[in-house]
Amino acid sequence: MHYNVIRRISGLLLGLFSITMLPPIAVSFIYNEQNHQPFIIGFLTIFIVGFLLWLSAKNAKEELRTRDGFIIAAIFWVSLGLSGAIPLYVSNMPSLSLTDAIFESISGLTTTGATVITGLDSLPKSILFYRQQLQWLGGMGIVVLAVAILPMLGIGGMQLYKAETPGPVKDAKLTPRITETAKALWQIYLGLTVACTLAYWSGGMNFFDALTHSFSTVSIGGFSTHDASFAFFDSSALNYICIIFMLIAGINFALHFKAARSLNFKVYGQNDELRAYLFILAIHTLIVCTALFLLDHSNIVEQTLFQVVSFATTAGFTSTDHTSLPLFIPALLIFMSFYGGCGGSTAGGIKVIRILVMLKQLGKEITHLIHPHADMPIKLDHHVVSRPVINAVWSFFSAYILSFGVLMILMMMTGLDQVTAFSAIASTLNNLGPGLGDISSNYASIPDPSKWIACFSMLLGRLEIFTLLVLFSPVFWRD
Amino acid sequence: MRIVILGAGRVGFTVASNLSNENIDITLIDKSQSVIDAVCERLDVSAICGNVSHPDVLESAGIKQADIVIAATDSDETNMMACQVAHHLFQVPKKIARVRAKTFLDVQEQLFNADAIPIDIIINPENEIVQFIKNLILHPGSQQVLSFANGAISLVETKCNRGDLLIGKSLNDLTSLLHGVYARIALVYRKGKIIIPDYQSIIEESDRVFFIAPSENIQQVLSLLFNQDKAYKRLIIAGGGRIGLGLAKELENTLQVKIITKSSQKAYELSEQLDHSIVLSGDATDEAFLLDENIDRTDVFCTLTSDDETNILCSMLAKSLGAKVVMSLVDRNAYMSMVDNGSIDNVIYPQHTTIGKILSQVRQGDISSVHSLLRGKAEAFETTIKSNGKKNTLIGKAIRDIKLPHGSLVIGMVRNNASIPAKQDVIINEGDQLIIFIADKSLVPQVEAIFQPSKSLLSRLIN
Repeated sequence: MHYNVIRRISGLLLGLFSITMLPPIAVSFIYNEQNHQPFIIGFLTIFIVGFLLWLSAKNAKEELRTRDGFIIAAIFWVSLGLSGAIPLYVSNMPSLSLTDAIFESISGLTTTGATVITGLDSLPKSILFYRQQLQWLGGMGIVVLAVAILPMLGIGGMQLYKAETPGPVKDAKLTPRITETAKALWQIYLGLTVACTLAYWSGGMNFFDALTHSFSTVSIGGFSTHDASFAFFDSSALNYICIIFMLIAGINFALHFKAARSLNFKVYGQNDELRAYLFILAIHTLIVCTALFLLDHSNIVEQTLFQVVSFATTAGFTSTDHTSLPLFIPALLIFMSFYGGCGGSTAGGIKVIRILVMLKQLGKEITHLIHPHADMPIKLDHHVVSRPVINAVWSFFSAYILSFGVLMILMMMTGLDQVTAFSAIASTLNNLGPGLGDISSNYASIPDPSKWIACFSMLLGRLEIFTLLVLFSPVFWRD
Repeated sequence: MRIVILGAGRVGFTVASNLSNENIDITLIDKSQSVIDAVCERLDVSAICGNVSHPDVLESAGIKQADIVIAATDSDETNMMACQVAHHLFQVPKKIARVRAKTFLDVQEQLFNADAIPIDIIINPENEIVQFIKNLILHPGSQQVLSFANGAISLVETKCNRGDLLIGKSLNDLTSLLHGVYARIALVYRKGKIIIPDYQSIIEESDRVFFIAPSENIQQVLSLLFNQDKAYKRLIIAGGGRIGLGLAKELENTLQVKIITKSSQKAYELSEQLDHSIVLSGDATDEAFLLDENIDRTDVFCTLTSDDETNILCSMLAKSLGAKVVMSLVDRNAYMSMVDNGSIDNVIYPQHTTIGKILSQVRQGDISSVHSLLRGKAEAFETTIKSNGKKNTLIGKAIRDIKLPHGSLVIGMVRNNASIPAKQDVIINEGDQLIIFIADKSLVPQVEAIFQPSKSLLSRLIN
């Protein structure tokens, strides 16, 4: 373990994060809210802590090793969750307990979108802006941002990048140099955000709502500046814009990169994962549509599409009250969040690509029973998926299920009923947001220990289990 | 700049790791997946597994946007084929290939041009190492001899041993010691630090001193300052590979050469190709064998096998048995600091002799003859002052007026193929070649910019 390098880089990253306290201050001034104090406190605290950390090891020159990348990513997300809570805790509006502030902050950064705050509409704009901004930073990953703009990370940048990016194949760089890859990702992300803002703005939102909602749409977060979420606007145009941008953000960013670089949209058509993603969405839309049609609901297609895309990509925006539907629909929607988003996107969950690999393996096993001598490699996009990747997919799946089970039992121990506990863990582990039972509208009513479990679950989901889990293995700490 | 390197063997990997620190986008292609995995772990480059001469593999490596392709596999034919594909299908502007077989090199003018096999620059690492060692053996007392400006001027590294004339003297005293021969001490490497000496600097024991002098005077300077006047006579080479054979061939007419190889079959092959050398078949780590061959009366003992461990141990054994100077080829970076303590007189790092030629292709601003110094920490190169159609602002200025960043300096100057002292007040003419030393590689872009005045203001701002 190279504690010096770890301290130096964590210090740099915290310094970088402290800068993100400045835009809310500007918002506070623009709307004349006099609410800049929490952010100034947050800025100074985080900056000083980061600076001291950096100062204590500023001459550390060693390269980052793989295991250092894990620990930095994990430490950083935990400390980010904690330090992001400072402005929320200090602020009088809303007055949150420490647990609630941390929950809200981690929920933002992990793009979960679960909230403990009620009465969003009456909160200062600067606080609302800050919540949305947290989601935006967490979506593409602030570590990836750091890799893009801090050139001194060097080869260590790759270790950090690997520890934070979602998806089973982490070595696939878009460009020869990691800095360029990270830059390209953030450029696409920024471009999507700008496009989304303009679309919302022209669709009838005011500029503040357009910007803040684009933050949480493109990052697939799910925070809104209104209690009623998208139902507040009650506009089909906005719903459809939101559906489109969630769809785009749920696709692997490497595909967007390839398409943008070659100006050739054929790459989308040739991608197996994308086809499976759209297929899953179509099937589920069909099921829900049929159910709602039989129940004689109004406005079926728009509502179904919105809910399906929102849940599948793990955004978690709501446009109608999903709990008023027949119980199988919300349950189905929550299940979708496990397998609805593509690897390398801002979505959470197990990811389509892993599900696809597992399903193909399943099919292979069945064919194997019929043709015992056949040699059938698993292929994605006409390329054979290598054995280590398949193994990693299965072990990820089992770790996911195991974590899910353990956390759900723990949740029930804190006094929640089974439906609530199930949906809370599914929702937080997949970085979805809305749940069922006691948490169908927000998480304010559940006890504090449950909130801490939910925090852990959100981090576990965002860092794709292993980055966090590896810290709990004794082997990791042995030198 | 984008470079595609074919073959991630020793040469390919070394080049990639040196260049990836220089803001260059590198893609490596190799046919072995395990090699590719190792590269991905250790370097910030992209790596692709596949046959390096196949067009589809090259295309997936982004060769269309590449500025340079470097074919460095161990097969001459594959390298040539890959360059041909890169030229005809993808119009890569510059193609560098490793070609080793002498029969190709003999006809390189007719063979390697745009009409036949389009290769712009040929690299032959083994041959470059042979030339490097030959220079060391012909200049007793030197650790490195690097030539600039077509051999007009050389930068020589030496080690100060106890009893040398120079120890305790300042550079001011140098002129009187040299009896009218021009030489300049460009830098001193002391305990891991680079010192750029001024007139008051004192040379200490076990300093590594780099001096620059006209090539014909090197031996004179070495004998005046470092008591190295006796030319070597007896040479034993351990290892009959390409490098050992090449060195024996180069030197067998001037020195008494013995070459040791393990297998008798190999010894027979060597003796067919060598006329004056004595070819021995035996184990170079066998004490009795070495004593039989008068190891104690040998001037230079070179270990040039492909195995680092054998080389190091064999050299140490020879030294303890009484060989005057031992030289050893060491490839692995990890061993470098272990053997630098003086137990082996000359440690030769093949990596650094290869990289220079490629670096000079990557540099901008009429820079050539790039030599990597001190394990890649520092660099020396020559630049030619050209007017390129418009007026070069450096022409007519004195050397002291070139705004070089701190840590870089002009150490030598060549005008009309003759070395002249690079004094601070010398006025620069068109066609002059300046030898620049850079103590820290991160300064390279700044220095490049000074010698490439055509760069527009915009591109300067961007970089």
